[in-house]
Amino acid sequence: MDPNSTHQQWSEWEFTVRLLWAPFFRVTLQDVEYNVATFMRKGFGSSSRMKMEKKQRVVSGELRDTWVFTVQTEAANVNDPSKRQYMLDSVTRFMENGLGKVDVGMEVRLLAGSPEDGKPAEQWLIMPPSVVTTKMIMGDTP
Amino acid sequence: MANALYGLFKQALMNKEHDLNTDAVKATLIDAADYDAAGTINTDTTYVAGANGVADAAKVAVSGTLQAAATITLGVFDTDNFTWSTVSGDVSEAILLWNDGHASDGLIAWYDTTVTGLPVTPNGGNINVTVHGSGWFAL
Repeated sequence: MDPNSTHQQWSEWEFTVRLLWAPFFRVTLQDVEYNVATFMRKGFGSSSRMKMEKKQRVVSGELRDTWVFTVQTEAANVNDPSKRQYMLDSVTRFMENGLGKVDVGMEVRLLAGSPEDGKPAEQWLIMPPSVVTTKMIMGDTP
Repeated sequence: MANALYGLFKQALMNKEHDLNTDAVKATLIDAADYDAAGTINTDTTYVAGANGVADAAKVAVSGTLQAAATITLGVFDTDNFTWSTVSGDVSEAILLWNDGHASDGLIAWYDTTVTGLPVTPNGGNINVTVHGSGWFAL
């Protein structure tokens, strides 16, 4: 994959979903991951990857969840305001159906491709994983 | 050559010369045509003052300090993603991680393989870098 080839545009969409209530039932990480991944795949297409993170905050002595979903995708035109609004509305509706009353924030960033404002195209590099194997942890020669 | 940690970095680490979650670790985009990493990565025995022996011509872009969210948990060095802004210059084939807070600006690691998007031809725009979820390197 060369994200910097002429006709590609890659973008990052970060959705921060704050539950506005203390859940009285347990929402498992696996359930959220499966359902949101399925939803995001439909919204962004298969040339995408998603990272998910769960945080907790204290509000009036109650623990409330905050979920952060970060999608890197080739499919969505990040320069299109209507697409941005559509994705925010869709994600908000989806989250409210699954989690109840929520507050959804969205941050969007162009990673690679033309910003379509006359400025040069953004380019993107993706670092490789740091290799950690059991053997290395145990001190053997990898 | 392959991605690697510098021999002198490992030596300096054992000698308590680096504090990776507080020192000013930076990343430089490198034109490998002007810098022989293979010749220095394991064989250097002394630091070269100033530019670490890396020719200025090889340095295409230098990041700010990456320490905003640097972590060293369980021996894994990780930072936030970062951006080189308005980059112009030669085609670049590698990324050099180094410690600006070290007395000799110690080189840490060299990446020129399995970095998606390299080589990159600077076009005057930004170059965004996504650090892998597993960090820069693990000891």
